Amino acid sequence: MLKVEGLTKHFGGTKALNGVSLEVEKQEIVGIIGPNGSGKSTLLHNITGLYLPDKGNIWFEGTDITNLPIDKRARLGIGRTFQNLRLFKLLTVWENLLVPAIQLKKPKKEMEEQAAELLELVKLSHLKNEQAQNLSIGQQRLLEFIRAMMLDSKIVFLDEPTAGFHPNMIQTFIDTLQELNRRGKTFVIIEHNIPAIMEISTRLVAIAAGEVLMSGDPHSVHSNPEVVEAYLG
Amino acid sequence: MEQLEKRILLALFLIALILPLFMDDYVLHIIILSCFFIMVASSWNLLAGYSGQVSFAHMALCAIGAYSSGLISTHLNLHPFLTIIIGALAASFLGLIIGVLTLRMKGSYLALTTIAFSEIIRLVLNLEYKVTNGSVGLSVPGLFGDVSSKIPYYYTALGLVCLVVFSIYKLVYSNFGLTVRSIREDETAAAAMGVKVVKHKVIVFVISSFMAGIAGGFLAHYNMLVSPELTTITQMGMVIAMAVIGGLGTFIGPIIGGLSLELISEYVKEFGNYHLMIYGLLLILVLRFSPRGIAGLLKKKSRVQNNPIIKSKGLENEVQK
Repeated sequence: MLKVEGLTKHFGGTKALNGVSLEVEKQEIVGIIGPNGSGKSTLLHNITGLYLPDKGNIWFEGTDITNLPIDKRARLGIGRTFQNLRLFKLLTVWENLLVPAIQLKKPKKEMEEQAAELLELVKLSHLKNEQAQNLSIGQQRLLEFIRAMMLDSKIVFLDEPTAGFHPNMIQTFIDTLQELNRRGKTFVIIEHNIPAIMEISTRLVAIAAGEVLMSGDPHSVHSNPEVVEAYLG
Repeated sequence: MEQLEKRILLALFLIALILPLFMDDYVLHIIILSCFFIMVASSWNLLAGYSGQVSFAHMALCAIGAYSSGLISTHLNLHPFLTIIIGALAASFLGLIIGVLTLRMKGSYLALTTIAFSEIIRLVLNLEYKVTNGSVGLSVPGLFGDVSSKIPYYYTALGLVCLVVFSIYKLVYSNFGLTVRSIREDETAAAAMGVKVVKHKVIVFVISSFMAGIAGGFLAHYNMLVSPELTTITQMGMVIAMAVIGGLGTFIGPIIGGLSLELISEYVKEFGNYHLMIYGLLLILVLRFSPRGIAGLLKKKSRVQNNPIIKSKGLENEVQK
């Protein structure tokens, strides 16, 4: 479904990504782990179109999207959330959800039904008329997550989706994610919450110093000495 | 829009409808000028308050509408009703050019670029004496020929205000408006949600320029004179003050701001330029105590009064503090 080949990105003299290659299959839940500054978010920004890579190519469902702008990639079905929450704060929860659906020119009834169902899934229905800025951090993260789903995204990139969550909310998030995965959605998740990412992901990719260290079964990657070394220094 | 806002607007409209029955020409003149400012402040609010593009070229675009309409009606002998539309189209064309040139600009960069554009327009209007009659101003035909009564102008102004304000309302509360408001909130997040940011920003620039052009054209044919005074930074400051004091990013704000500040301006104009000090003072007070302007206060009051929990406990006054 998604193929990344030899992705390289510099920021001044710093090489943030050094020839990263990665493939994601349909309906996978891929967890990406790595120490701070390893290039996880940069990889995500390059795939979703926030940055353009210096070298390398990205294919999505057979189409080369390397140079497509972020909004075109979104309309193709590549959704995302942000490490630092980026909600439309003065808009209501409901309006936040409608914005992406409007861009797909969905019929009104269809988008309202979809928004209502997603709110139900993350248990935020009672807050639909509240301004996004009035929600707790955890609720805002859930909202940002389901907002990305309103794009009918085939693949969704989640950047530290459980940061700031109350423990009860983590389960709501995991249940929702797994339900959406059962319905055919693909996820790539950057996460520092190791127990959560181990529970959710079907495959784990470890990144360090802008390179892929290892990819495979979550338990084998997590216990790999090289990965442990990269994490602990 | 909140119920309280709707009631205020309806009351204002009904009062405005019957006002000529009780008021003399002087009061009607002030209300006509208020209508002009409401149109300009509302269209600037569409640009700055709803799409987040703070432009200082709005009065220059208004002047483009005024001069274009004035010149075309004078030289081609076309009726001002038609030339006002042509003038507005000219303003929106220039708005399109500015919008495209400033596509990637935000904040102070956009502000400075639009100030520069506004100054260029002001200088051209002053220096191209043969066409514009320079700082003396250009005499243009009246909208209703030689009719001296204010009443036809009053109802035309009222009709135009309703048209502009209603169009803005329909736009802001449409899917297009919601998309534009999402851009104001966070351009990057909007783009990540599939929003064509550049296209929407340029469209808003063009629409608001068209509305400013309509207002400018009307003013020219009402005053039968148009001068470069319209493009000064002082005039632009007044429009911004009206939108901000009324409530930036709110629908009713520029209407309240345009009406109240024009009324105040009439009472304090004998102090010359000192009336700007009063505007400045009002602006500081509003920004200090109600950053969302008078409309923000109304919204807060309305929400408190409609909250069943607060109502049941009789805490309305406590909460409003």
